[in-house]
Amino acid sequence: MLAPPSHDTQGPDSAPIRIFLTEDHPVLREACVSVLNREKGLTVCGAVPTAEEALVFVRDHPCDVLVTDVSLPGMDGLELARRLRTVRPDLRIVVISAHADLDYATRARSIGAQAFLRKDRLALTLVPTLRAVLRSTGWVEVDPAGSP
Amino acid sequence: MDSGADASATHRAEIEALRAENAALREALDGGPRSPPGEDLWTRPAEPFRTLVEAASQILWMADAEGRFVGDSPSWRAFTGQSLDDWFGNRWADMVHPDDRDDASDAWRTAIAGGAPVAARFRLHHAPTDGWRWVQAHATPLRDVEGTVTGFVGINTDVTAVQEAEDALRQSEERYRLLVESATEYAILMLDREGCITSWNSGAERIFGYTEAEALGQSGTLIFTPEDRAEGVPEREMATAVRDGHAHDDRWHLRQDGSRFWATGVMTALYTPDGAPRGFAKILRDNTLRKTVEDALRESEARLQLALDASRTGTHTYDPETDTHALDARACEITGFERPFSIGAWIDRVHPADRARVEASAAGAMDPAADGLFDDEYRLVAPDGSVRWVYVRSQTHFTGEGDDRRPARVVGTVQDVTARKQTEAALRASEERFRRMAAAVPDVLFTADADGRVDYVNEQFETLTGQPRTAGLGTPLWPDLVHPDDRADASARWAQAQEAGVAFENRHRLLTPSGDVHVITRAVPVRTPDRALGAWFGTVTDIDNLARSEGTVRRLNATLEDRVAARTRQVRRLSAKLAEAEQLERQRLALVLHDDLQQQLAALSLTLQLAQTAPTGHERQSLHERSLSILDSATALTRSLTSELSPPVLGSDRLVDLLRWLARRAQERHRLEVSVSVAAGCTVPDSAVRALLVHAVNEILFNVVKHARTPRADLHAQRRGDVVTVTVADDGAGFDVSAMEQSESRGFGLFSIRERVELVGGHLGVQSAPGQGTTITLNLPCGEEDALGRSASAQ
Repeated sequence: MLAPPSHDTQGPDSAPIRIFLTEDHPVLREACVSVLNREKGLTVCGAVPTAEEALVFVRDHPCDVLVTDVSLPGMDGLELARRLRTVRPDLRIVVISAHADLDYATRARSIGAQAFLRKDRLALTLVPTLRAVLRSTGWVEVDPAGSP
Repeated sequence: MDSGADASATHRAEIEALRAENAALREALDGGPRSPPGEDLWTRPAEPFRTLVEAASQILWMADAEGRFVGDSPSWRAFTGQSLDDWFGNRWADMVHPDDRDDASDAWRTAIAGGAPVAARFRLHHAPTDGWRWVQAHATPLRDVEGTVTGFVGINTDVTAVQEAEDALRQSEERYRLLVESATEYAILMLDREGCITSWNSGAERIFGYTEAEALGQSGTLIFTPEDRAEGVPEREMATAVRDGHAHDDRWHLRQDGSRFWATGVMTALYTPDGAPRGFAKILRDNTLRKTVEDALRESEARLQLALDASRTGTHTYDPETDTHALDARACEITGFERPFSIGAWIDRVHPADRARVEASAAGAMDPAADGLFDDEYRLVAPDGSVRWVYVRSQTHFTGEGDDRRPARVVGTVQDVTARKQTEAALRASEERFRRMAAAVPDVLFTADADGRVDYVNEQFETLTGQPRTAGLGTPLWPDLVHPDDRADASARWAQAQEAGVAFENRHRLLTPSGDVHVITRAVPVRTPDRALGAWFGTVTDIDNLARSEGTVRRLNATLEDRVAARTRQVRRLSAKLAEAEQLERQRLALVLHDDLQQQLAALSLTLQLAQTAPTGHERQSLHERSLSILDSATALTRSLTSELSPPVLGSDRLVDLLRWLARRAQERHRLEVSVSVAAGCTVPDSAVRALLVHAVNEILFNVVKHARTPRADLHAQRRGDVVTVTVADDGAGFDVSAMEQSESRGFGLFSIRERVELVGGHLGVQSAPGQGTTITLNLPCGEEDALGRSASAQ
């Protein structure tokens, strides 16, 4: 269903994986950007607060993974994921939300996302999940304690 | 004396006398007496002495044992101008002043008769001045070897100067004596060096009670109180007088009868001409009255202060020259003013509703043509917004006359009458309640005094009897209106009940314009706290009307059921709306929690993780600071959320706290300037009512923000009895009230507030018109007040 990752994330000389972020809360957005940029082999290629801006960005810029919040002003993150899945089937998608509602995980999976993360566990789960998603082609189940 | 013969005789005699004198002088010089025997052997050796004496302008004369003058006395004649004949005619007394003549003659006769020396002082005619001179006459009898008186020799000395000096001294002493004696208001006493009394005037007798005889020789300490004596006060007083010349004597002194009086006086030291102390003079008066008056005045002032304190009255003065009011501590406390202030500042603080009136009467009190009295009760708004009623009475004092007359000073009192005003309002409300009740009941109500004289009937008296209400006053039970057949019985029963002071009940017929009506008259005695009969309270019930009334009751019941049903619907509707509002509120909270708080917490956790693995200390430090900043922001959010869920101000029952908080919030959130004025002591003890009040006022203020298009609103609150009234007024756009009331689909807005307010027994009034601002009046029952005017807890 999915193409294998075009980059070996572990290779020392390979180009870093480009991660694109959609999160409306500025504080959290900045925190995520800082965490991801510091990881070896990962780089944040863009971060926007709305789904509408995300659609424009992805159209114009190459990126490997989309990390999106569910609750966004205007179009929500699940709708964004659904639309991008159609136009960019190779894009890896990770959905995050402050609601620990299981229904969000199910819905994320049904529209082709690779993982669902609770915001209150982001510190433990974000980076390991991203790495797992890059290695895998299917759904990555995330243990709330941190390990994918 | 003035005949020529007399003159020549006198002249002759003088020549003879001179000759005789010359002869005598010669004999004396020759050393042998040559005068005939009987021509007095003793005269001759005396001649030189006589010349000597006369040279000293003294008068020398000699007389025989029978008092006949012997020999001439030129000095006498020169002095008196008497002729030689008269002299030898023994008419010396003619030359003596008529007032002294008898005394002088008597003395001379006595001397002659007794052969004794004589001394007399009398006035003698003095020829050179044609006046009277005082002379002192001394005559000494001359005796022979056997002791027989053979004659007298006399010397008259001019003592006029001495006499005048003596007279002057006597007059002076007399004047002094009169002064001292007449000064009965003053005790004047002299003490010797040892402090013993040497002089005691009638004033001293009067004041101290000791007679002069009793006082003289006593110690001056006699008049001091035992305690002063014990402390050595008398000695100190004398020592001070010696040192300073005088010593003040203001102290209690003792009378002979043991009573005391307050003396005011001075002790003066007396000195001999060479400066040695010789004693003391002491003058004092009984000043008990003055001291008593002064004490009474002081006491009266203290009483006045007490009265001012007790009546919680402050005083104020106003100086028109400097336009400055000054207040005493009490007045400051009442008015909230702390420093002296101008009349303008005072007027600014008067409640707007009273201001024009107060300003006009203050101006009237300053009018020189008027009486200067200011007497008014009005409201003052303190800087904290609380409102107090004050009673101010002042008097303007004017200076100058006619066109120059102008106000010089205003003095007055200030009293806080808030409590009284509240009581009056409560009383008015109570009377109003009673009046309404009395008007509402179908029966005749009456009250009567202890003697059974009716002093009040309600309007139903007119309806029932067709008589004016005044006809119901005075006569007990209106016997004239009782059917004649029932009258005696009714009167007897009433008399009996009155006598025994027990409840009265009687059925009888009453004469009314619509015929006889059966009534039951009831009266119950109302007792005073000491169980005495104080008054009667009674009713007259139209029994014929009862049947008719039953129908009315049924109708009323039906109406009541309708109203209950309507009320139930209202409660249900409101309850649904409340549930909806509650749900909305939960959603809103969830949104805040999710959209903000949780994001911040997630960011915090990410940042902390970053910090944990940061490669450099600098980076770690920066991330820690970032974490703290996020934490602060999250904390502020929760605090704001908590405060919104249950504002801490709801813990205060003081209305002024609640309204000020709302005003501040409106300012902070919506830039709406809200002024707050609250009558002193307004509280809302019931926390549910408090919450509703805060919610309602907040909504109303929010409506001002949304619709009124004005940057300002006024909040005013007061409390009458158990109802608190809050008015929210703005001068903004306003609206058509009737149109607004018809459009019920306003969600949880103004009219939902009205429903909630009415559910707790309150009332919400709206006054507005397009372009004329809006005034919303909120009346809420807020729990009873206790006797002190404070709110008792309603929970």
